[in-house]
Amino acid sequence: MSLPFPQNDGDRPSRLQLARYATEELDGAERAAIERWLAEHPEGRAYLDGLEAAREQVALFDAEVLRHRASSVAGEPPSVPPPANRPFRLRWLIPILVAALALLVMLPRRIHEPSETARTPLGVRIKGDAALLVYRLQGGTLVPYEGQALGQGDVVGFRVNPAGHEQLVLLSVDGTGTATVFYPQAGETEPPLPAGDADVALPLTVTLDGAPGPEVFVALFDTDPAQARAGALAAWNAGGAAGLEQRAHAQHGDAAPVEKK
Amino acid sequence: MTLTDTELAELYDRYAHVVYRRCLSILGNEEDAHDATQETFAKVLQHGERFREESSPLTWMYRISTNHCLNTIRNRKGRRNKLQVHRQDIAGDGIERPATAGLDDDLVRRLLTETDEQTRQCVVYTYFDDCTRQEVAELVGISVPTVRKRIRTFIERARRVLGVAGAVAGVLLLALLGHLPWSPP
Repeated sequence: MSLPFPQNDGDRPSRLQLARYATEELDGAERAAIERWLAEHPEGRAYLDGLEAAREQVALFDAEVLRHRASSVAGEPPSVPPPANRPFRLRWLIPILVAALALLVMLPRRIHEPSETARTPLGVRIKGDAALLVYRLQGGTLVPYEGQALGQGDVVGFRVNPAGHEQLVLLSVDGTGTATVFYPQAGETEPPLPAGDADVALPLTVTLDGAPGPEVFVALFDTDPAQARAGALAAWNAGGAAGLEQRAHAQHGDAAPVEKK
Repeated sequence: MTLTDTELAELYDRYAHVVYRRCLSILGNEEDAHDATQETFAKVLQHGERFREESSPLTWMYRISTNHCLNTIRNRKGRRNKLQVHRQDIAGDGIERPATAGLDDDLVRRLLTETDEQTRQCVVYTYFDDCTRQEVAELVGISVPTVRKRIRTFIERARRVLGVAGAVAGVLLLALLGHLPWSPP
């Protein structure tokens, strides 16, 4: 049985060499040798064309995202200002400030939740905004998720209100800071979301694992999965679940935390 | 001294598409390839001073992205088991999905999860980058004979896997054709 396994005996430049040629890393003699070979081998030229075409596919440069990622990869704390030297007598203010901050974070959701929505899933916002609605599987039916703590094996489903957007990225960041993109699924291209103001049921469910919560599900629109994931991780690293929700809303998306047991 | 945003932007403009294209061929999907590219440039930032001294920044990036891609391939199986994402038609979307990637690349990726680190690197540089044995030896930091040995072992393993798969397919085919005594009437 033969296998399509390459054996480059040096009779052709490797793809690494071709890439170094494309990025102008080679010296004059090496470049000349590659160009002689390219003149007789269109497959080499096609490979270089493919590299150039990838310029259109690669994510846009974002120094902030890269710097956040670099600091988190290094295991360094998120880039928050160092604490000032507070006089001891002011420390009693800390719990009050934390409570006030929590209230501020919660306030927008209370405003967006209609009063009659006792059975409305979390994530509903005023009409016209993009929204993410979370459901949980109960007795074979998806019912609105209302904030209760879910455990490993529980299944959640989703509806979104795209509010005129065509492309959706649905992802989550769990309590360990692990981000997972669910929609579009890896390697797949999803069709545009339907126009109009109707909620759209997503054709997927997610079985929760045992990772600590909250697991924040985020719907972002008209972005690509890699950018959305990088931005979500940067927001989570900078401000945790609350930071992630704020960033989602700032980008005309929505977020819904699911509490975990 | 860390890289400035301008320096980083220039490096990104010069190399990101090449790193992305290469990661795409190794990983087989765009999302992971984007992630690997971002990770590679995050590492460039971390090693700014050392990175400036590299005679071939691209070769350095290849090493970094190889490690990340191999980790991604290894973690994929666990990630899928962890979250068990499965599509359930709650709306009848009728979405048609494109065909999966080529079987050959998939097989190589699967076998990469079942072999040792050194062999994994040798296979990536040989299979996806078409590197010569000499180039692989320099990239991995081992001798050319060791590279040959690693590749040979990997190919033998692939042959065994394909052989078993072929035998199973043959038995199923015979059963379907009614040539086996336990096949249904």
